[in-house]
Amino acid sequence: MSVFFSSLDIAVQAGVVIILAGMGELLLERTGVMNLGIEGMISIGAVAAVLMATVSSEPVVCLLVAVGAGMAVGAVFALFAVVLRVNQVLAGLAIFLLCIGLTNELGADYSNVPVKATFDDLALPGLSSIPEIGPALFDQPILVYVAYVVLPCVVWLVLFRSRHGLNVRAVGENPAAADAAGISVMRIRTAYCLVAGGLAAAAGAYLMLSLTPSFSLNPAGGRGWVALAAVIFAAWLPWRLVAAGLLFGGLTSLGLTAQAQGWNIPTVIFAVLPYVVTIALMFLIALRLRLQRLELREVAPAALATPYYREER
Amino acid sequence: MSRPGFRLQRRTTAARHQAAAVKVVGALAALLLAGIVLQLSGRPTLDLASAALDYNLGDWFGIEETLLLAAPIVLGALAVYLCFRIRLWNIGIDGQMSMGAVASAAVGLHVDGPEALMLAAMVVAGALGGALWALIPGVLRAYFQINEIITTLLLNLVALQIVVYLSVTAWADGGVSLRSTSPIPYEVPMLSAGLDVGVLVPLLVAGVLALVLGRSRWGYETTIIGANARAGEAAGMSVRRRIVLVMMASGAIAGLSGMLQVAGRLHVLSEDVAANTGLYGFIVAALAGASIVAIIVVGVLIAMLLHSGISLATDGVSTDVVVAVYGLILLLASLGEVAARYRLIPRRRSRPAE
Repeated sequence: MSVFFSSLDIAVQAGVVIILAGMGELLLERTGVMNLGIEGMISIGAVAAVLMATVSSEPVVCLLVAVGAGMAVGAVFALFAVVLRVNQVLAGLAIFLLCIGLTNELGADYSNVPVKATFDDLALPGLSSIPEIGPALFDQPILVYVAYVVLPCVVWLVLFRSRHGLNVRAVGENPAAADAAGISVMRIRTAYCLVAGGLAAAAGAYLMLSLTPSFSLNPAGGRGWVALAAVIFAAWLPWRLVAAGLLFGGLTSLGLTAQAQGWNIPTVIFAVLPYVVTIALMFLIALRLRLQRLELREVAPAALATPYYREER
Repeated sequence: MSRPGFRLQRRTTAARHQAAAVKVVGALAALLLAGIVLQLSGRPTLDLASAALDYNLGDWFGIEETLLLAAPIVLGALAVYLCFRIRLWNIGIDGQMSMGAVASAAVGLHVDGPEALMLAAMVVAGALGGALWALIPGVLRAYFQINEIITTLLLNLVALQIVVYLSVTAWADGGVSLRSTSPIPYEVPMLSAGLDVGVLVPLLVAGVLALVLGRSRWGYETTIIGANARAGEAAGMSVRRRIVLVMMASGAIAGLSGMLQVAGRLHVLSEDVAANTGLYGFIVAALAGASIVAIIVVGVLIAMLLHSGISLATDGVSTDVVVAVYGLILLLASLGEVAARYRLIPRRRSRPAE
């Protein structure tokens, strides 16, 4: 493969983490809940997958266990942020600290030990034999296809083409009106806390079972924060989030390519590039909205990060 | 409806005492829960706790270490507290601290001069470095409504990479240490064998903050804007400019804290300069609520917990365990603000028509 296509190959894989975790966050934010625990949930998924891989060589089993662990964390988050209605920023950061501490404690013994259960590449018949592009795009682990095609299709259909999706968006825009219409705000928000936890953990599991198959401390490595930002500059739209994920993957892969090719640019530039570009893109989307005489908060779900009290309706 | 007992009624204003009580109970419950988990995982909690107390308060050395850890945590908490006053979430203390450290290390490493003058220059550089790093999320929030939580968190990651690059590559010592710059030739004066003047700075900053926020027009206006930005705007205050200024002041406190690390405890610029102390400071500010005195007390307690984690490493407790416990404390204590909005009232036999 040429340099470009082998970089694309890595970019596609690196983007998966942002897409999986970000899609859960996107759905949850559409219901009006902001989850700052996402970085921790990715970590829990990673450590759960690593621990499971010590007893099972089946990557799917490890993935499912990780998703279960992530949903459990999502349930704790839901208990505090949705049911007990504590401040979502505090609950999210608390979940982040709890998860990152647990992850590093539980995973310490497995640091830099190769993970045994890894996903094999799944070559799509026909497409994968296209020269250059085929191996880069159509000979990938199954989660890559899930993240780039299946998940965004499902999320888009559910959010914008189903009654349930209408309910979800109503809860995020105007929970009082949704409540009056007979939609259970608490039930929908709780359900999507579990979905967000599960998807974030799936992203962490993918990291360990495919992208970089050995545990390291702080396995999420800031990708959770990038996913949060990606949801913003994707303007809460699933397909734009896919593009955001691919872009992040591209920036990550650029650093690796630069190293491999021996480009004479300080590595720090590539290390900070994903974060700087992420901030720059949030700025650009806000600027673009400004030109349309809109504010970012008018695009965001109106009830984002606001607990819902029926008695204050 | 004649069930006996009590029911919850929502208050219109928050009861601060109730919030504080619930937070204390929540934090204790978190410690209890953590203790049970440690016990079940085969680590005798009571022995660990008494060992931890001994490490923290058993001798002067332990007290010094705790205070050295507490100083940057309290400074970070004060910086967060200042932002709370105007309803900003500054989670970027670590980044601002790092950039303050970078700026002051740049001055300390590359400029020669008399010690006192150089220390003053490093203080200014540190505060400026932190303030400028906080300017970015401040402007993005004030003028473009971009959530400052996310930008400050991302800027933490950027600052950490810059510190790593400078200390390992650009300004690397090359000889003694592979992970840090050569020693900074200027040091803040010592109070005792182990403590430098830096441990007093949080008290100084706390006093200044209390005066500015409680006794000055600027502080009064800031409080008004925090309580009701529209009212502030209507009274002729520039809300946007105030958001940027408060963010920069907060960053300056964090930057000063970074300077105190490179010219004090660490004597070098290395990636240990922030080491999540800003995040811990955030927990302290969230727990302490609106009281500066509580920030200092809670800050020392949180530092004791951290020091326990560091000291007990050989007994099977690590700082990772402490971080998890911090999360648990924050989670359970966050119920405080909710609880303050309710009161328990006796159920009446029959409810009057509503």
